Amino acid sequence: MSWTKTLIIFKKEMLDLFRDRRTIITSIILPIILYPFISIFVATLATRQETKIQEAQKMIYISDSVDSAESQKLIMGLQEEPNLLIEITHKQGWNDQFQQLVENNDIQAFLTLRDTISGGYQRLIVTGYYNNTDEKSQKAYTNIRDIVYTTKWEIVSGRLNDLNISSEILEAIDVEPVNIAPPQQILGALLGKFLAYMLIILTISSGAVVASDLVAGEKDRGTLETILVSAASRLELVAGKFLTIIAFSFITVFMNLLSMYISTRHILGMANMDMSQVQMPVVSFMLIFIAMVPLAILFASIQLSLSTWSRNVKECSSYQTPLLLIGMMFSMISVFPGFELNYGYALIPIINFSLLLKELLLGDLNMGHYLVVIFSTLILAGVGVIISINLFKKESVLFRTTEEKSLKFWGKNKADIFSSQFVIGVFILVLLLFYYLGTPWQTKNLITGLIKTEALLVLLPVLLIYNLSRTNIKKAARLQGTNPFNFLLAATAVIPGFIISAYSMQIVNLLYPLPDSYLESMQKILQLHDLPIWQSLFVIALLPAICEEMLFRGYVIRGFEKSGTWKAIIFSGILFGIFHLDFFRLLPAALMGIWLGYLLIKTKSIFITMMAHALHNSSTLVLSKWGDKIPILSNIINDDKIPFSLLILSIAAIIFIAWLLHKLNQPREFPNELSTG
Amino acid sequence: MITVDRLTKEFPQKEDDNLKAVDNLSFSANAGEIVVLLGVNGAGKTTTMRMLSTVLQPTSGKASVCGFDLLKSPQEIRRRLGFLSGDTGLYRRLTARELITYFGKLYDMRISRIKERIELINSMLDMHEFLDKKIDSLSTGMRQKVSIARSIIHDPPVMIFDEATAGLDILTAKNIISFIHSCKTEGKCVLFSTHIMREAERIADRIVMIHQGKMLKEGTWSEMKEDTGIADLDDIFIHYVSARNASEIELENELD
Repeated sequence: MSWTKTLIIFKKEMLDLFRDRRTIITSIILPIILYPFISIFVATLATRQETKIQEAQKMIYISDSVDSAESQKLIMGLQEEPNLLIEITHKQGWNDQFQQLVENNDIQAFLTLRDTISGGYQRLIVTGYYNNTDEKSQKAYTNIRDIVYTTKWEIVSGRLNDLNISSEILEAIDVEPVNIAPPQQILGALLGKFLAYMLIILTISSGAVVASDLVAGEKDRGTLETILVSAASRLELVAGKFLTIIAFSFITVFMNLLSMYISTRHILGMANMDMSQVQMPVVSFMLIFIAMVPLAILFASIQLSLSTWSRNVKECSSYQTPLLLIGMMFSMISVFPGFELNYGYALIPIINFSLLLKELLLGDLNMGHYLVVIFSTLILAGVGVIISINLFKKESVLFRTTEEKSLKFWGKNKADIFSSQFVIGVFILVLLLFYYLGTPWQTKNLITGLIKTEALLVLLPVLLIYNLSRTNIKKAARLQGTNPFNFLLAATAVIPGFIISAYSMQIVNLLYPLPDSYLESMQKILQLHDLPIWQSLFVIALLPAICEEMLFRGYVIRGFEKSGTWKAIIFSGILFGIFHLDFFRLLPAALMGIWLGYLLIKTKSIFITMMAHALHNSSTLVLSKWGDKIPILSNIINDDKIPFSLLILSIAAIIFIAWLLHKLNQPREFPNELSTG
Repeated sequence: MITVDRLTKEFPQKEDDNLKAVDNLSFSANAGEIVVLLGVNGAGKTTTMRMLSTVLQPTSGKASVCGFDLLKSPQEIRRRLGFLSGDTGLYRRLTARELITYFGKLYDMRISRIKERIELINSMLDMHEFLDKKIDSLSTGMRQKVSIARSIIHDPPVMIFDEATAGLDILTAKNIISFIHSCKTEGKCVLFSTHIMREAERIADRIVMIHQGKMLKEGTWSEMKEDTGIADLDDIFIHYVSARNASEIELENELD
């Protein structure tokens, strides 16, 4: 690969790009003009609105059924307030109508005054009706509250005076709040919340425009062939295009940030904030820039791959939307309170960057975190680059035919229910149903919800698919018996399997500490309102074992068996992990799914996996109910640590059982012929 | 200069049955010769051309261009090859000169040499008027000239034209045809694919008829006329196709 040629390609792409007025206007010029405009407009409008509400006349109705000196004093205080228009009403029993007026914003507040006697003193009770959704009404309420407090203070002082006691007696505690956060940190906290979001969105969206033009655009224009026959190698072409995307993203991000910075300065200047005290954290910005490089490479590689895969620009932009959505969701994590960077989050792209920025801008950067974020993203970026280079070298991708393969099963052709596309479609559908129907059902009533979810959303789709396509369900779902030894082996594997699953959960917990609320809700499911044990076993062990096995081992795994047994086992296992819609259980559930897939492929009987699944779930249940009373287990639960030796032992046991299963279920037709011939 | 030896290209389809776009094709083309690949749409012409220009990799078989093997030294082949097709696109935001220079640089040419070549091509194709205009603003005919210039900037000894006149009006197509003739007089080896019989007759020194990826007949027009006793070109082609079909049916019957 020659860098001179890569540079030639890069220069040409940049020239081409910067001559494209539309791209330049939308991604560079527009933001530069827009930010100052929007910010100035919003700022002036907001201050204007604030003063307007402050000064606006607020209409208050008061129904005074006391008519004492105290109530008169309060009303007088209110009348003195220039922005309040006070109307005294003597109509009794009209409270509902006045409340209605407040609700309709015809008046801003309605007060009723009545009194009681407590401890020998008369006490005035003011009920204030106001509308919290209306800003004017809110302002009226705070006005009234302040006046009520001053009046109260005056009355109390008067009473104390009558008793010859100084009103100083009431000043037992004084609060003097002093905000010691340095301006640096205030700015950091502010920036930390949205800077990551802005950077990520800008990088993705600007890269998307360029990337779609660079390969899919060449396909559209028919120029792809000409560069492929030129003397530039494919590697040089990819590298040149790569540099273009990254360079353009950085230019866009830089211009946007600069414009944002200048307009923010302007607003703060207008709000009379002293900007001289706030120094721009230059070192932090340098560190952010360095951390951004691997992320930009990662995005560029994804976008270049999408663009290479797409047949035209239109297709490409439809692929890029999900990337932007993921970027938005992940990067928003820094806005949520409570999320702090740790080594676990440092491994997840975008989230790690978002949290890193928060940490960095608040000035408590952990260098270990910083390096892990950079290197983990760099590794992913490297993988991305390799994928995009390989895609660009693949002729079946570069010259993909225009036939719409992916949507074929909606057409007239009889759907192949075992094609991987169809299976993934079904899986996504089940997942959506699970989320939109199952979750509400379970919140309403946990037990019936669980039953309904398993039966209607997990089992029923499989039965429907097999029935409608007239497929022999017995054969397809492997509803068939097998060697009884298989049951014994699968049952023996439950305990070591359970230990591995628990250990993997502990690793997850170490990297991504489980929130307490999560543990509570898990416990709730397991205890099931202290249902009788046989009922719990049915809901938690038996039912999921039957329904989920029918879906995953009875159907989903079939969709991948064409591309190889191991691929089928692993893919269906991962889908099983995702199915649980639970980030913390993704790893243990996927491991479990892979093991069950292996059991199925080896024994060719779904009854085996149903039994294993049911036993596994039962052991969870038993452990949560009586774990404390079993000596070894209670150790594990309470210490929350499984000895490493036990894990090694369990893995060895699983491998041994897997080997036995393999040996036991080898095809042994005509063994003699095999040995002789 | 071009030798093709049992070249085969399969495209993987759904359901395991691969499509053989090119099936055991063998032919050759020499310097100063215009060889026409003739066949209906989907006969495998473009696939053959793409393999020879190293864009696609053959499934089996061999081919060499200027003595370089297709698989072993694709880079060397590309340096010696000019490729032009009917639907070739151009970078519309560059000027004609920028575009031609860009490709010159990709062929590792020195700037002085690129300038020299552009001057030469410019006077040959008469591009003075629009050489420094953006391609966006050029007419179809002008763009075609830019495409030609792009394909010969590195003065390749071998030219491949893939349906280069398809979809062009008579005047622009004429530019190409006369350019092909000039290539021949310069001693270049020209491979030209088309589905239009008349066009093939006008420029071909030799014709390679292909059908369904396989060689149908090779030779000059006069040889083919003599062979079949038919005067009309279209009829000659149809004659060979039906002869092939008949022999295939016979073969199937024998096998049954």
